[in-house]
Amino acid sequence: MLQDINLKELEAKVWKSCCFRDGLMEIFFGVLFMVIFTRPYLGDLGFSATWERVVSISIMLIAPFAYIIARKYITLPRLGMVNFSGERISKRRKLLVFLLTFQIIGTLLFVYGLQNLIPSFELSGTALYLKRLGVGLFLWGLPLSLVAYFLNFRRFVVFGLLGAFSESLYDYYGSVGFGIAGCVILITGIVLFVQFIKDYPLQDNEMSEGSI
Amino acid sequence: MASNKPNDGGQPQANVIDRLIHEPARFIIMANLYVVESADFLFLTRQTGLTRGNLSSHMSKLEAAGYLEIEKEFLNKKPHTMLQLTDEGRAAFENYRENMKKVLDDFPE
Repeated sequence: MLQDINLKELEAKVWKSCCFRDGLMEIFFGVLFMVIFTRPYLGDLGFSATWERVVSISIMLIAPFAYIIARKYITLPRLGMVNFSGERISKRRKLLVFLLTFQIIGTLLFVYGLQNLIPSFELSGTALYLKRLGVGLFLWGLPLSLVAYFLNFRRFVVFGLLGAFSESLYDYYGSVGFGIAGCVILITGIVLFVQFIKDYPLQDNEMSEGSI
Repeated sequence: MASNKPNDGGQPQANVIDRLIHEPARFIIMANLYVVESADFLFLTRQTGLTRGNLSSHMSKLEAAGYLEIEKEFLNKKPHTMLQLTDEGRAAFENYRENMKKVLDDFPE
């Protein structure tokens, strides 16, 4: 049994090394948060309502592809390639479907305004805050907690809580909460990314293959 | 240390411990490959912390024993080596784990 537990831990460690060491996930979420933060201010920069949506949607839809390309051309040549076995692959596929669906729904909600879908109640003070917090936990906390569970990456829970908390402050401070959270996450991601580049330099291809 | 007493109660003796896998570097290689489907040479150097020459040497021994399958190919005109445990290698690793667990469980306090 001890060996089983250790092998599971080893597999989780290999998984985390492979997928989350480069800081790109933090950069991805930081960018998403910053897009939400900046959207209300695009009008001040001269963008029309239509262009606000176009710019915001474009960045939110391009971000996942930028993440995949960065993984392929920056991370993989430095870290190497690994193929995981059945159970991990199956979990990942289900999660990808969920994330894709959530990304589409989230983008639509973001573009067309969440407030148009939430039933309006006459609330004030703490009740209003709790309603907003509840919405935030549903939109951010719940899905990202599920992602954290399936991908063995607890930092997603932090992203989810930051998103929920930022959402809860929206009625009071606008999108500032997302801006602060986005900065924190983005800076963390950049620091991790720079450290990753330093720790894992590109290797000379002839030498990297050894003498097998 | 090998025992000269007959094997009683099915307890494994030291001479059934697979010495090929027991070597620390090879054990780390086998353990990392056991928990994945396959991995490339670069990934294993990163995970194990072994030098390239050291890793190559151990992998040659594992391949000679039939525990490891090595596939060499070219990706974008660059050499690329993928490694995975054979069925025999996985079985040998599982036997090694079982035997080590029995040895350690039966160790007198």
